Amino acid sequence: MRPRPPTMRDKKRYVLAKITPSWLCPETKSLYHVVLEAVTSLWGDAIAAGIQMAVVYGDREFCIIRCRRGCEGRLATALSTVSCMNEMGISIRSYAVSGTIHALKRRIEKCRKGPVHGPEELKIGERTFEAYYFPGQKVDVIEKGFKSRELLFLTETDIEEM
Amino acid sequence: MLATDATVFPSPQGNTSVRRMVIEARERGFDSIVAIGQPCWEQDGFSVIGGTLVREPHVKAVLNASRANASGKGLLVVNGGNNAFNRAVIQVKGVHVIRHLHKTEKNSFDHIIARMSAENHVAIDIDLRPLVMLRGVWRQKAIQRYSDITGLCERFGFPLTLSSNARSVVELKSVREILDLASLVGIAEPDARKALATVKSLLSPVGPVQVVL
Repeated sequence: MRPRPPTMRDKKRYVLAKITPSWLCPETKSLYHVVLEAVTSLWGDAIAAGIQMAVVYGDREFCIIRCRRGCEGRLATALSTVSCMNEMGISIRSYAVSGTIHALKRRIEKCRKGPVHGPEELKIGERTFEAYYFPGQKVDVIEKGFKSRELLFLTETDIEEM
Repeated sequence: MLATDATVFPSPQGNTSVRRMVIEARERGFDSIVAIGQPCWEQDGFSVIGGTLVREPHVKAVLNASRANASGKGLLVVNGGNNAFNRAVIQVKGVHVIRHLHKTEKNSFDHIIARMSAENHVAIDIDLRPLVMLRGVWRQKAIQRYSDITGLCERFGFPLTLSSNARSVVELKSVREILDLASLVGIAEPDARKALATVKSLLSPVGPVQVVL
C-alpha cells in the first residue's frame, strides 16, 4: 500500500516525558502499556482512540510519546496519573512538546543531568543498601535482599548524618 | 511565583527525607511545601512550613492541636468528618485547612459550612492523590465530590488549597501537573494558581487594620 501524501496525513505532536526514578530502566513496551492504561482509564476508550498514543523512544531518563495534534494536553494530564509499573512506584512527567522527534532529542541532550553513579554499596547500621548517586546531592538507596526491599530517597547530607 | 504544595509527608511517614523533598519540590516549580510533622525552616528562599495533621474525628483533639500550635507559625490541617464535626471544626480558632472531604459522606460539606468557611477563612484542601492513585468508579466519585466543592467555592469564595499528598519523590507533582489535574475537577488555571498561593495567606491573614510603611 502506498503511503499517504504528507498533506493527507494526520498531524502529530511529540511529548518529551521524564521518568522518575531513572535507575528503573523501563522497557519501551512496558512504558506503552502503562501510559495506555492511564490514558484509557482517565479519558475512556473513545477519546483514547482519538489521541493515537505511541511510545516512539525511551531511555532510562526520558521517553518520547507521540499523539495527534491537539491532544497533547490530554496526554500530559493522563501521564501525571501514572503511579506504578510492575509494582514499583514510577512517575512520567511531561517536559516539552514539539512537532519533531529530532527537536526533542536535542532537548534531551540539554536536559540530561549526567550519568548515574553507581550502584555503590552502602551500609546503614546492620543493613546493606545499593546507593545511586545523582547530581545535586541526591541519593536513591535500595535495600539489598530478596523480599521487603526498603527504598529511600535521601541526600548526601542525610547519609553523612546517619 | 508563589506556589505551595499544601501537604507532603517526608520521612518517617514517607520514604523521602525532608531535604530531598525540598530539592525535588524546587525543581518542580514550588517555592514552599507544607511538611507534616516537621518544624518550620527556610533555605535559599525555599520555605518548609511545618504542618500538624489531626486525623481523629474528635473536636477535643482539634482543640488540643490548636493550643499546641498557638504560635501560628505552622499549618493546622484537619481531616474532614461528618457535617456536625466539620461545622464545629471550622469555628475553632487556629484551624487553617480541612481536607479529605472526598472520603466523607455527601452532606458533610454543604452550603452553610461553605459560607462559614469563607467567613472564618478556613481553606478546603483538594487532595490530588485520589485522582492519581484511584481508578474507575472510585476516581469518578472523587472527581464528583471535588467538582461539587469547586461549585460551592465559586459561589461562596472560600479559600482552596491544592496538595499532592506525596509520601515519596515519585508521588510529588510539578506545578504544571497540578494545574492539569486541577482542570479535571473544574478548577481553571488562574484559580488553581490562586489556590497554590493560598497557604501563605492562611498563615498571615490580612487583618482589618494594616500598618503601611
